[in-house]
Amino acid sequence: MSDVAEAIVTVTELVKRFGENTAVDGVSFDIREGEIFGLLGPNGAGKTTTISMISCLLAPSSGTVIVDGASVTAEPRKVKCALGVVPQEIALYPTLTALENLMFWGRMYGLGGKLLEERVVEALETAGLADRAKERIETYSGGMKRRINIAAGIMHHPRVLLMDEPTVGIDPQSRNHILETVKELNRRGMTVLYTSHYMEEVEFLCDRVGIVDHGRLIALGTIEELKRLVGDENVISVRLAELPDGVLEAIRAFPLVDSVSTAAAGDAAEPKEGEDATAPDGEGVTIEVLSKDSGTVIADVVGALGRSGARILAVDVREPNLESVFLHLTGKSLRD
Amino acid sequence: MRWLHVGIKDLRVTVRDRASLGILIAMPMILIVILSSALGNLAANLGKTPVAIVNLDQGRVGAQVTDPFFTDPKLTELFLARRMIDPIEAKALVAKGDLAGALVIPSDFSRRLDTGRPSKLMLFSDPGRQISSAVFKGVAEALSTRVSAASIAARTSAFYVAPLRVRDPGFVYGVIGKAVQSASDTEALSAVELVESTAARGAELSTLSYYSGAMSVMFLMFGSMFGAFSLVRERDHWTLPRMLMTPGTKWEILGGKMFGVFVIGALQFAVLFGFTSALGVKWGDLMAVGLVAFSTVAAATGLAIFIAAVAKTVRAVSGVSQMLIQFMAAVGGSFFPVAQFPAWLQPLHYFSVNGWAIDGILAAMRGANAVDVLPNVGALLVIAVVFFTIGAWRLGWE
Repeated sequence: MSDVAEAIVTVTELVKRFGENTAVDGVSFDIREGEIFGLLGPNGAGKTTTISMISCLLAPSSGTVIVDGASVTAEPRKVKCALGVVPQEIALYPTLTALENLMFWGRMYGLGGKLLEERVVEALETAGLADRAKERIETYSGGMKRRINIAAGIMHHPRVLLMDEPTVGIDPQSRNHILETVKELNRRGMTVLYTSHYMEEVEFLCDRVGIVDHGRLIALGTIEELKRLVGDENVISVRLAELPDGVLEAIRAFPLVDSVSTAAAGDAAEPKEGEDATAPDGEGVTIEVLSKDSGTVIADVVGALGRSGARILAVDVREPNLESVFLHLTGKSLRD
Repeated sequence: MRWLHVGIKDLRVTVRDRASLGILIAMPMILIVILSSALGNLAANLGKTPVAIVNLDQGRVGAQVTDPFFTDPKLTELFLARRMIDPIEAKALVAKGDLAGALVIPSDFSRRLDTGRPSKLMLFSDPGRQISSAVFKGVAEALSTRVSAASIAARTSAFYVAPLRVRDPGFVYGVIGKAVQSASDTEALSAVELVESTAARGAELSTLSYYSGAMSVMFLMFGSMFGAFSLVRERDHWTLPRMLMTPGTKWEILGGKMFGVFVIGALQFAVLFGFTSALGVKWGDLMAVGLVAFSTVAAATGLAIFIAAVAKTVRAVSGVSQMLIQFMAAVGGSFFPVAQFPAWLQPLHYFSVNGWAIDGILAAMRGANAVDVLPNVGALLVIAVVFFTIGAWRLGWE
């Protein structure tokens, strides 16, 4: 990936208001041709609204979006031809077979005849579901549906593929398949905009990442550039059976602690690569403490928790990652 | 051609939904058979015969003919009579099939009888209702004969008694009264001629014919409900937004959705047409029926877009559709003939797709041709355009 590649998508001061609510608030970034660009942020941060404006589904309240040289407001048809979209929802017809679904979506992108048949076969092979092409979508597992959902968005060989949380709620095997598929599509030359609130997916896939929160882009850069924002801070993660009153204030008071946040246990630990993020990993709550001197602070934190009577279930110290970047920038966890 | 792909996809999705197909095709078949079997001959069993009485007579004799239709318990049990003042309007209602007949008393009726000149009553009857028309005609004849005889008797008695110079007025009136009574029991005398004229054309409609048209229209409307469901479901399941993210325009997509609803409605009507024809229903002029069916399906398609626009969820679609369709079915004559409704309720059928559609279909069954049903076709197409315009305007694309 070359830093000098031309921008194929340019988003400038993009704003979307729904009545009093501003869902996207002055977001600007560009996506370079051939890269995988990640938009990372918690649910409700404005990722889907941003993708909806890039894909001409929503009209921006203000700002501009240029895709492959065409404006989304002035030349939406040209923009749509350049884009492939994989929505967060499984946007397929459950009573139709995978083959029928792909034929339909291919036709909607203007494919026909022999080319359509070839592209459908290619998409089914990419999804790894060629042998089940004639089965109805309603008989598929969640992961298989997600794979066909992606296949429907790539049949016309778009220059830019927009993927909105494409791995939500699926099994580890399907997630791995999807992540590898995204890598493979990118290797074939497809530029990808990938949104997620799963930090590890974004770290695994993306060349550059924009972090969004409350409709604003709060950081932008390569993974390494973003991690440098945190400096040499580590994340001390402590899982507790319950959270005693006043203990967070006690931890915040330690001089070497930069920030403290909490999350429900099931949300706190980012999934390891290939793990299902939605799988329960225990009960209780997790405290995450950001500190440049984790060796000293961990003893203070554990001591404070012990004095408060908290039952500690697990302790972990992690190197800086996008989660800690988000924590550093917003003072809260990605899943808060 | 994206609209065609959207439409074909919708047809495929609908065909896979066996429950919906059952409701759209099997239910009307079952209801047509049950209702026609249970209710038998409409004229005989569906209550009183609707007739109009137009009394233009400025004297007192006309009322003697017309009043019994409103005061005689035997006649009020038999007829649902309404007073009208315009004979042309009354004739038009008979022609439409809303009334079984209309009796018109001319303005000089009393004057002519009093001066010994013969008078004529006009009777418009619907040949499509042979039994009830014949009963109405018979009653009108009996009443006019009675009035006629009484009139002659009164004049004759007065003519002969007056020269006798009888001083007792009671005696004079007694003689005249007895003469009138005697004459009223005689059917040979006739100073009043009943002139019958046919106001409508065509054959008598059986209950099976009636409900074949009425139920087909009602279930075409239910077909529109499924069209609205489809649009809202596509919005909820993100297939509609996904379509909008393809190079297809919203008009191509909406056109495809309408095409799907339209074809399903047309197929539904074709199946019901074939089924009821096999049962012996004569639908009449094919061009007339085809035009009415086309415009009815168009109105139902417009209604589908309208419902999808005003109802944002599947549950809301269900509620709004049930309310609209059942209202239109009730006032439009899908359950019972509009002619059986009280007079104040009858005009409401002009506000329903069912009313215009059933009117047109029944007219075709009675022998109307394509030109005759053009007002119905026009009204249905106007309804289609109005529903579509409001729906397309209100449909949330974002």
